[in-house]
Amino acid sequence: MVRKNMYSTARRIISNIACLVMLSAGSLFTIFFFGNVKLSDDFMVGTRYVTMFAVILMSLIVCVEAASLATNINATRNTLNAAIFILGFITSSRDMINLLDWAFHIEWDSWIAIVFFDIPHSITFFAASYWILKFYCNNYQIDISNVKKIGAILLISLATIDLILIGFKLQFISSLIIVHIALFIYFVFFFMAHRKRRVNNVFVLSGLIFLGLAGSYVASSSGTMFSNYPYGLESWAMIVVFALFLMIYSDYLIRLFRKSYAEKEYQEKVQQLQTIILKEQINPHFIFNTLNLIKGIYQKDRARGDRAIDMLGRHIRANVDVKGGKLLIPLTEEIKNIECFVELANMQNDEPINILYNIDSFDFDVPILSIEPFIENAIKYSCIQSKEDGYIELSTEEDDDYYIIMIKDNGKGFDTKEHVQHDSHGIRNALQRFEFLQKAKTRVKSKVGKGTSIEIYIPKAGN
Amino acid sequence: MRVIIVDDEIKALQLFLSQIVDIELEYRFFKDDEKAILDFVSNNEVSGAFLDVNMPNIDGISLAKKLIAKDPHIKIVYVTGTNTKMEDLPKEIVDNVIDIIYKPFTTDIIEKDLRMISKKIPKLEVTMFGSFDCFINNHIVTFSSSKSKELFALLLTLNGKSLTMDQAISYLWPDKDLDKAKILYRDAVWRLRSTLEEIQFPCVDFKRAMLVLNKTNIKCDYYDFLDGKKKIKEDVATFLSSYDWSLDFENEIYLMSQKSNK
Repeated sequence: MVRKNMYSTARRIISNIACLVMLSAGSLFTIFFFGNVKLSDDFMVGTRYVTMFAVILMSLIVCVEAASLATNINATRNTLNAAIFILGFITSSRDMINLLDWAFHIEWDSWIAIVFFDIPHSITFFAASYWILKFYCNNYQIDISNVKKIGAILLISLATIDLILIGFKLQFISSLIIVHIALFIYFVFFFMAHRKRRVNNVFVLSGLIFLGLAGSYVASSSGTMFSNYPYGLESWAMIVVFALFLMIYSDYLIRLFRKSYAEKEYQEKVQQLQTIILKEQINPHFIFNTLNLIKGIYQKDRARGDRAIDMLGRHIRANVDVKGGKLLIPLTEEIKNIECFVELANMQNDEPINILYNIDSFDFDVPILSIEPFIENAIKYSCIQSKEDGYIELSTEEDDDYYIIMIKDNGKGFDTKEHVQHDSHGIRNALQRFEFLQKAKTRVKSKVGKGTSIEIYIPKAGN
Repeated sequence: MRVIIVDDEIKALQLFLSQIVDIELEYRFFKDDEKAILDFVSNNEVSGAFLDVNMPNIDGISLAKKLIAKDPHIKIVYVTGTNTKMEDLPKEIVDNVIDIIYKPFTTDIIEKDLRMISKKIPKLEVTMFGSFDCFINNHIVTFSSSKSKELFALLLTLNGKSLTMDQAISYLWPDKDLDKAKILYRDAVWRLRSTLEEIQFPCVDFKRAMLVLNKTNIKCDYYDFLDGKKKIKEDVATFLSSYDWSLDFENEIYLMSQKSNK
């Protein structure tokens, strides 16, 4: 279990680092290749279609995000805002200038390009980064109260420096320094979430979106330093971002589907287990015996007869609760069921059963009628009454991780390998319910002549 | 105190109520006439209502809502053969419902609920000279084991001082080895807790490895004696005579009784 987790976390970290390396390589390639090559006109025309396509796809993502926020399917404003700013990012890119140039034959003054395109481009990049980081804060419980504020202040100051640099047409400097600081912030968040063991597919995919965004920003701002600007690169990056968004959605849908399927399977299994207890528990033989006994008691002692009826009523009620679909009850209630069963059994036997309640911890739940079968079995088969110092001990305790229930007797015991007690359905069912409903670990130990002990470890986290 | 009882199976409850004598009680039965019930409640001061959850002609829950609308202080007790739990009830009425009684029920439960309606807090009466016994509402309290009874006696004797596990073991199980004694101690504590819960008199604070008795509403001949209100007619030696450890306290009591005689 632990190994598997470590493996998948390692895989995620590696995939992130690989992305970063590819990103750096990509931007270096951009700087050295595009910077010195004269692009053909055909290529330029092609990139225009890519740009158009990217804008349409990102608008689609914004629509999906808005719709999911409106219908409240597991969505927050953070992802919608991020999507809106990513759309803003692509519409204010130089690819867009290229597209408008071609469509409307507008000659752009370089200052107008800076005011209407480069500056919004920088602002939308940092705003989108902010919303992605905020999304991490909310979803991955990065709950150091100042993280959001510090992140915002850092991003705003980085954006300000970036804008000043753009004003002096020196944005390639920011591609070398500022964007890498932004990336560093992202990795700090990544490791914070990783320390909390909350890194999942959505985290990695949205992280890749951020890296894609940052990468295209690095490329675009470093591209301004050369005579040939790397047109089309950002549009392609946006198409990758779109694909990542689609992967996040499909991941969500798959999880939803799996969850509903698992839920259905779980319900079926629970139903099956509950039906078995019903069959096992309402024991007509026991009830008629008790009724007969009560008749006898009434002749002698009315108060005791009343008590017996009270106990029988409670015993039947506990069984009716199972029928009502109850799965877990507080331990105290289960012990009450046991007490009333023992009291009824004592009325029928000459020798009282010596049962010890060694209860050290009781603030937790157990499956309904899950301990009683063990006590019942011990009373029936261990023959402790015929032993002089025979006893049944029910003890509970807790440590840091588990609630521990132990049912011990010093009766006949049985061979755990060979012996299949003919009443062991009830016990097997009870053990299964502990394992299934509470992910408990169970252990049955028995030695012929020494007695039987049953240990149940209920993990605290699942309770 | 006036209560109304709405039930399609009236007979059973009537028999029980006629047995309860020490509470001043006026009760009125209704079968299924909702208008008559509401009229009665608006014209008379009614403290409580015993209702069934499911009756052939009236829905017990909506009736409770109407009753609460008439009188927000009215207390509701449900008597039911079904499986209704407190958490199944709607929020509006939950504050007024003091109990759900399941059939088959006993006089004790009805009596306890009537006491809650009348806000009479029960008193625990304890005799420690002669034989050690506890009574609640004039009924003797049955402890599920002799050691849990003994533990309670020890707590009463300590007179509100706390009792640690080690102390209890040294008094009650001096001869047993420690591990065994701890198990027996926890067993006795658990049984005492169940007994007190059953009689609804939570007078012991069960802390981890320590017990503290809350003396309010306990009437005990030993405490009366300590306060000087009562002289002990019986021989001092009868103080908790069935328990060995009582000798430790007897000396003190003897000295006190000598003093008070002078």
